[in-house]
Amino acid sequence: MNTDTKLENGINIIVLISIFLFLSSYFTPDLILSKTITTGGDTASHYYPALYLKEYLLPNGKIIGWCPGNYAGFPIFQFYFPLPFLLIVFLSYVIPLQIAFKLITILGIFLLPVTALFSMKIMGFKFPLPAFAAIFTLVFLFHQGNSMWGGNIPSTLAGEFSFSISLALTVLFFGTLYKGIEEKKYLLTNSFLLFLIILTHVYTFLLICVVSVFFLLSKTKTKQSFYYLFKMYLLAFLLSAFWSLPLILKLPFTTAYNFVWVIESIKVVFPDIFLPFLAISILGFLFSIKAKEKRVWFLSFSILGAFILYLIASKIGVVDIRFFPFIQLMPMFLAAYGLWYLIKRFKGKWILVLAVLILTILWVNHNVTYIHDWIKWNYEGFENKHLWSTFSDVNEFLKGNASDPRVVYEHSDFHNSAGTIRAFESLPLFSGRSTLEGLYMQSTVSSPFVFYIQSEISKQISCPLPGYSCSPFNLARGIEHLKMFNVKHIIAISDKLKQALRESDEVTLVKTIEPYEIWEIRDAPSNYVKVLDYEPILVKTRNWKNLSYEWFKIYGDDGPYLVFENKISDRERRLFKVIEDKPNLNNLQKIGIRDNCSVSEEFGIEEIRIKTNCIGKPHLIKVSYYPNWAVEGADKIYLVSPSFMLIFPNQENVRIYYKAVWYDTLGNILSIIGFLILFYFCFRSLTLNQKITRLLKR
Amino acid sequence: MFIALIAILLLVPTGFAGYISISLTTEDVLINNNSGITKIKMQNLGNEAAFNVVLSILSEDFESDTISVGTLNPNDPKELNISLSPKEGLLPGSYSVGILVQYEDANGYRFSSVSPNRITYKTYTISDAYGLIESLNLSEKGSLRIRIRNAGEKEHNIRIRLYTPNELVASEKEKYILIRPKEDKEIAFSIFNYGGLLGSSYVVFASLDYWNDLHYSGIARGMISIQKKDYSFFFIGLALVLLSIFVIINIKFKKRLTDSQLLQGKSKNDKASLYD
Repeated sequence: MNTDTKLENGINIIVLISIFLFLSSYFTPDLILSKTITTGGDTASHYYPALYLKEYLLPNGKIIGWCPGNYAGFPIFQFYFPLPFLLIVFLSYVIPLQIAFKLITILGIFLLPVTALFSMKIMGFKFPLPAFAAIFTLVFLFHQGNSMWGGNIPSTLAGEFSFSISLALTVLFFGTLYKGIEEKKYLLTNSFLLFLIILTHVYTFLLICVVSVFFLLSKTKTKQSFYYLFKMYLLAFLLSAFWSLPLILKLPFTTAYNFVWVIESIKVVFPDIFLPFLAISILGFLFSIKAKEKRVWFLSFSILGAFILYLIASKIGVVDIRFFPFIQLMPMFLAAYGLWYLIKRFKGKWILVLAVLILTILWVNHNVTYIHDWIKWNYEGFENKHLWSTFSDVNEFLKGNASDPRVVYEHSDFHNSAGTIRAFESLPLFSGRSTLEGLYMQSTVSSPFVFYIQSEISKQISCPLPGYSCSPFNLARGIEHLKMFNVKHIIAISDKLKQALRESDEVTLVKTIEPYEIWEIRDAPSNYVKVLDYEPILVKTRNWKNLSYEWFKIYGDDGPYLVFENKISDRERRLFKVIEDKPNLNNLQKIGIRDNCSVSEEFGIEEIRIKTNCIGKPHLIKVSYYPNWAVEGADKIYLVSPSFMLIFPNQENVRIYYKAVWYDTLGNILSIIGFLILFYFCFRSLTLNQKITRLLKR
Repeated sequence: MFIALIAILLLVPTGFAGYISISLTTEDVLINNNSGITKIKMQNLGNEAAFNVVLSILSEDFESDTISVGTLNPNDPKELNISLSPKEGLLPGSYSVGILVQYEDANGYRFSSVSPNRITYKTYTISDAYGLIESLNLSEKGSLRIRIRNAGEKEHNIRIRLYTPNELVASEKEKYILIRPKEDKEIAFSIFNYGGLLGSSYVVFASLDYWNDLHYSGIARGMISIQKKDYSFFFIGLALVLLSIFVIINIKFKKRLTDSQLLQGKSKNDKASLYD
């Protein structure tokens, strides 16, 4: 290694260390290394899943499983990205979980400058372009244009740390992919990287799919590139199949969220902090045309790809503005190229790198306002909030476990004083009791009903799901729906709800912990399993969600309930007394069922044992329907309104349990095959390298 | 509908980006007897509610109650009456008092602000003392300068009493300064930041009092902005030095890198760090 290379490497190291120190001046060790539970936005609600993975899922030999804590139960980590949580758990075997959680939430932020530098180096860009690229990532990280789109620090603090990690990996992947296709190497590395990206976020994966098209546009290498990409995607898919295959096949059991964001001005996309760098990036692009610099065209193509995805997002059922971070970040690399091009023939470039580093940090710092406060708010934790003792007392009073009836809380900005508006989503963590709302609202078919209930009992509502209207305040209806969801306790905060509860004869005040009041629903069933009051109505339909939602607006715990099937068998025609294609929701047929049934239950996390004397009668299970639930002691599990399970026991003892379905097993097998392929070729290439090395030594 | 591979969660962050701005409108108060009422209209001009709002009067000369207002929602004005009682032995004349507003935002962070109010006790007087507080950018501590002018014909020994919100603390609450007729003088108070939010601005004011048989009071107002500790000049200087060295090197050694030198560099740098 000659002196120049040593100097360049030394400067690169200085740049990375300086960036690290600058980031650490914001994410200070006293906050990050404190053993408190992170709060802030959605981040707080990610902690319980990490704990759940550590204490329940992994000890039971699984990554994906069932969590009863929110939304009447949902498949945890099937529709959210498990890799960051696995990292948190693995790290927590060495350090406390709270600190491991914090470190992984900021991992993407610290990783992005590093992967940017190495990506540019791998692509073959000369010094000091990789250093410039690393430095300019700070502009993207610290921009305060939004806190929801992803990648920048405010978005990461708001809970999008998985995307942050995925973005950093994607930047690295661009480098290895470009190099790999150009020189026909890194196939295994790229496959593995892509697998990691799939397990950290899907928006980055989508962008990669579109950006890959760049290599098919070549006049000479299209066929080779296609084969390379095919093998890479195939191996990445195999590796991730344990997660991605069931995800694809179980999409019908999710709730869509294709939100269209209205961008009012370009300043929202590129706030002032970007302006000097955007100017240089335009220069960089023009220089790349002059120099016929294909690598820069590749990076520019990713901007185009992200914009195309933004335009078609709502049509493919995704959120459009989630592609904007790429449109914001990639110009920073073009700016790095532009600056490099301007100074490439000058001597002493390492001095300029240091000057650019200082000036960029000063510029970024000058443009930052609230990030310090947000970081402090998040990482000082729940325990340092002034509402902590009140919040703890409420949870302590409600203490129980998943087999107890659920607890509901009134939605309110006030809860922010406990750390986040979503503070009570963590009832399963702090009290052990299940609640209705949660973070992963797309992961289950029950979420529209949960938010409808929220609107019935809350003065201030969120109503977040496009396409699902909410209710005006209506406590009486809300209580009916709460009984349907086996909710026994209500946490009230607003004067409006408290007054309505006082005027209701269906509830009793059981505890006041100012400013909260905890109310108990007097004749709440307290069971997750019940025999229906009326015969269920079997409806043949493929589009059950809208029908069930409209049904929910009208009917309460008594029913009659609707059962949804695509096809109706002869046996079902005999089993169901009422069958309709287009039920009149305002006038459903009510056929009473004898009510001297005795039903007892043992409610576990992934198992429900029922003992009943009403064999052959419809039993409602107040748990979200999901294809992984299986039954012994009944023929099948039916999907019943709102989004629950229904069985007709054919014996006294019935067991409903969560198990893998065939595509879970297939996915696992494919993943094993993928890893075997990966290890085989890794071993083979290592062995080959050893042979080559020995040959050369001779 | 073509449901692609996705549908996976968008987190809808709930971090707030609102603000609270409490505006007070007061009337000058005339007290002829043992007590008087000051009428205050409060309005939240921001876009998020202020919680646990409490109003109190800062004064060494008058006694009053603290009023708990509760929640002040945006664009929902409230009118309050605070009664004031002069302390025993108070001279007739004009006085300045501070109205301290304390509140919490949705996160439970506490804030406060002060506003001046004028009170006339039995006899209205016009003060010769006028003042101006220079705006101050404060990180941890700073010096608040008040320029005072005596516009009258007599020399006055003026008591300057500083009123600050809870987040800002002065080393001394009051100072005295002797000013001759038509003379300006400047006085400084050391101010410390004890919890002022970065990026926020706080109104401060000082009462300028003097008395003989009657009491006279003027008001000087100013603003303190909380900013980060600024080492930027040092680093800007360092960057300029580095840039200068870079320029000097390239002027001195005018020969630029040739294409072949650039290409040679390419093979040395072209070491991939990941292998199959």
